[in-house]
Parts: sequence; C-alpha cells; structure tokens
Amino acid sequence: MSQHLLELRGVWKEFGDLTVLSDVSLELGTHEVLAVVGPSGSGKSTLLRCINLLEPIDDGQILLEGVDIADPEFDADSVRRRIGIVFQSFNLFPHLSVMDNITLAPTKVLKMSKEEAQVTAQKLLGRFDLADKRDEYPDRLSGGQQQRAAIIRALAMNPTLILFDEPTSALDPELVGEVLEVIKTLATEGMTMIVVSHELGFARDVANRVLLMDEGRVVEQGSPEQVLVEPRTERARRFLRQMTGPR
Amino acid sequence: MTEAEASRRSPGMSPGRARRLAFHRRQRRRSLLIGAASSIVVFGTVTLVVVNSSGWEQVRQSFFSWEDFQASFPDILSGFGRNVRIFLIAEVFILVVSLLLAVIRSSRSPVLTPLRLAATAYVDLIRGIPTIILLFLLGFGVPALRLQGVPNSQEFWAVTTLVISYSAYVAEVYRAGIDSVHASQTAAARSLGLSSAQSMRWVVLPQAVRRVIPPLLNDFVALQKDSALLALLGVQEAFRRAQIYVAGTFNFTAYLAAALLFLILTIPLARYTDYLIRRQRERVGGTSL
Repeated sequence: MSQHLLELRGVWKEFGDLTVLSDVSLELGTHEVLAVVGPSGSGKSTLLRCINLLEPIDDGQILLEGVDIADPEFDADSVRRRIGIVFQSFNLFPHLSVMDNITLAPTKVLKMSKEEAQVTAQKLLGRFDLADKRDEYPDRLSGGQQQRAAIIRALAMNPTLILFDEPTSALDPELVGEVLEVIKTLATEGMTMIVVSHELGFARDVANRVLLMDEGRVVEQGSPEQVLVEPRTERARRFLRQMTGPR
Repeated sequence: MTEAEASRRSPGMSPGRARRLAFHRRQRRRSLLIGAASSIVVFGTVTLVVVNSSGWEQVRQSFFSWEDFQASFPDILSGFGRNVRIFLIAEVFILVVSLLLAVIRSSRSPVLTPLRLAATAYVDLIRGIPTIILLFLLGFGVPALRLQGVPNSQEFWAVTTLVISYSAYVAEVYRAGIDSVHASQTAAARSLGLSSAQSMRWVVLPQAVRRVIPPLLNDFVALQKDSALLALLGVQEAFRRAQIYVAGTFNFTAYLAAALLFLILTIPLARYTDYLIRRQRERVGGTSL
C-alpha cells in the first residue's frame, strides 16, 4: 500500500451539541492539489483548522506521512511548522513590516539567522512581485498584496503542505485574480495543497481532486470532472446549480 | 456646448458653491461667538460670586499671598524633586510587575496554575484595600518588625506600597490590552509553529502594549499625584514641606504652590495622552483592520 502524504480516517469534530465534521476521511498524495467545496457552514474551514491542529478533533486519525498527528500526546507545534495555512482574512501581524511578518517564524521557530531568513524572504518577495513592499506595514497594502504576503509568510517555513482557507473571499473582485495566480504557480511547481474555495472554475483548473462537503460530511470526492461536471449524488447536483445558478 | 456638458461641470465659483461657503462661514462664526459668550458668562459669574463673598478678603490673604508663595516655594520645589524621583522609580517597577501579573493571568498553561491563582488573588486583594491603609500597614508595620536585611527607610516602604498598589490596577490595563488582540492573530502565529509563549511575546504583547499606552499614561498621572501620600509617612516631599510651612505661618499659600508644581507635571502628560488617543482613533478609522 502506498503511503499518502496526508490521510484522514473517520475524523469527528463537535462544538458542544453541534457536529461540525462527521466521519470525514480523505487522502492526499505528494504534489496533489485537493479542492474542498461546499455551501457555507459545511465544515470546510473547520476541516483545515483541524488538519493544522488549531482545533483538536474529537475522534479519528490524521496521518501525516503515516504518523498520527492528531494524537493528543503529539507535539502540535512541530506539526504546525510543517503545515502552512493561509487565512481568509490574511491575519498578517499589523505591528510588523512585510519583511518581519515573513521572517518571524523562520528566526524564532527554525532558529535561522536573521540574514538567512531575509535572503529567503527576499527571494520569495521577488518571485511574487512584492519586492518593493518589503518595508511596508500591512495596513498600507491592498487586500491582494496582503494575501500574497501571507502566502509568502507560510512558504518561508518551507512547509510540506499548505492549506488555503477561502483565500480570495475577502478580496475585491478585481484582486481575486492575482492571488489565484500565485496559488496556480505553486500548484504547477508541485506544492501539495488543500484549497477551500468558492471559485469552482479555479478548482476545476488547478485541483487534481475535488471534495464536496455538506453538513460536515463528505458528499462526493473524485476528479474535478467527476464532481463538478457529472456528479452522482443529487446533493452535489443541487449545490452546483446554486453555485453556477441562473445568470 | 450642450446643456448636459454644462451641468456636469461646477465652475470655480458657481452660485451654489458660493452660497454653501457663505453658509458654513456664518455657522462657524456663530458657534465661535456663542462659545465665547457662554464661557464669559459662566466664568465671570463664578468669579463675581467668589470675589464678592464676605470671606473673600481673608481667603485671599491666607491662600493667595505672594510673599508666602515666594518664601515657601524653594523648599517645596526641592521636596518636589523627591516626588519626581519616587514616582519615576515606582513607575519602572510597576510596569514590569504588572506586565508579569497580566501575562500570568492571561496564560492557560496548567504549569502556571498556582501562579495564576496567586496573581488573581493579589489583584483582587490589593484593589480592594485603600492605598492609604496599605501605606500605613507597610510603612509603619514592616519597619517595626526590625527584620534583618530589610530596609527600614520609610521612603523605601512608601515606594514599595505604590508599586504593590498600582501594579494591581495596571495589570488589569495590560490584560484588557491582551484580550483586545483578536484570536486570529494567535491562530496565525501558532499556525506558523510558534509556541504559545512565543506567540504571546512576539505577536500578542507588542500589539496589546501599543493599544494600552493611553490608559497606562492615565495611571501614570494618577501615580504622580499619589506620590503626595508619602507625606503621611513623614517623607520630605513637596506636600510635606508645604505642611511644615503652613504649620509655622498659618498661611495656606504653600499648598497652592505644591499643587502648582503637580499641575506643571501632570497637565502636559494629560494633554499628550489625549493626543495619543485621538491619533489612535484616527488610525483605526483609516485602516482595513
């Protein structure tokens, strides 16, 4: 049996009486891009926060390279540095410049020297067209620039896997493109990613596999064509009608 | 030129624009006049009532005597130097102790549970005791124990009292600041692999401290004034010197001289605090955060 980079087995998550994830299982190989789609409140964001161990799960297993990272005994900090997450609302640190936002974790967590961390950061900034913003503070950047800086901040930790939590839904429509472009570039470079997104077109273009969630369950998963073009379940067909809807 | 084109442009001084400008100018002048007039009426009345009261002549002599002011001022001023020194020393310790208390109270680590309980009890207890009582207890009580190696100077115990008392309040200010930093900031820090302590140190605290600088300065103003409490332990500070002068002459102008010295220090700080608050409000309004 080939080992997956990430595997979820029967994951359950509850907030009080509310079951947010019920029996979620999925597999993700190296260099794969998994798009997670579904209506609001279907548990997509919680799924990502659980994989990053920002939320503890109530039952099941999350295996990263075969090791159960959701085991309560496991050192969560050591996992988080290997799994990057990009948030819907960017969550840059407002008191730090773009450069300091990017180098904070490499210097404090990986104990890199400041110079070394800055060299890496500078390279990434150049690649994603933010080199001239290195000394700016987040509130001086556009939403698209902030989100690109946040992506660079995650990349600077050289993660095994990056999670994107609706990375474009807080952006003005004209800024969505630049962020999607960055994610697409990462995908072609072989970065392993899970992307929660409302951009179905993007999911079809970039993802190797698509997972449709509803009410905390996996409704359907498979290739983008399978899930987004010819879904088998009625629930999936209804969701697609709502998303593509009459225009 | 078509009619549509003409209506789109508003030339330098169209009748409409001129009318608006004139209206706003009238409004500004009106509010200025009303403000000035009402101030004159209110303050004028108060002055008249005071000056025409039957006891005014006596009050003027015993509170506003220029000779007594001149005679008492040098002594009070040199005493005031001690106030300044006391609250500067106290402030440094207060900022450190209270930050420690706040961080301990905000942490959720089980290892710190006993410390957290102690910090909570400390804050509750100290905030409930009037500073003046604490001052007597420590200032007269501890030196009376004659403990080996414990300083007996009343100034030492006075400063200690201020530190103990103010730390409890300032800790709560810090804690409010820590609580005001949104949880998503901690989530972002933790997601990058920072430990809980590292997130606090590098992400939460810098933002929290920046936000609470105005209320901290506010407490600093209060501390400056409370340094006069030290007179009660016999520390030779400004208020104590004034008391001594008053006791010898039965003229109260010396108190006014002491008050003036406190004002010279506190008013600029209070103005500066207001300025910071205003600037912070403008900043928050201007960003997307």
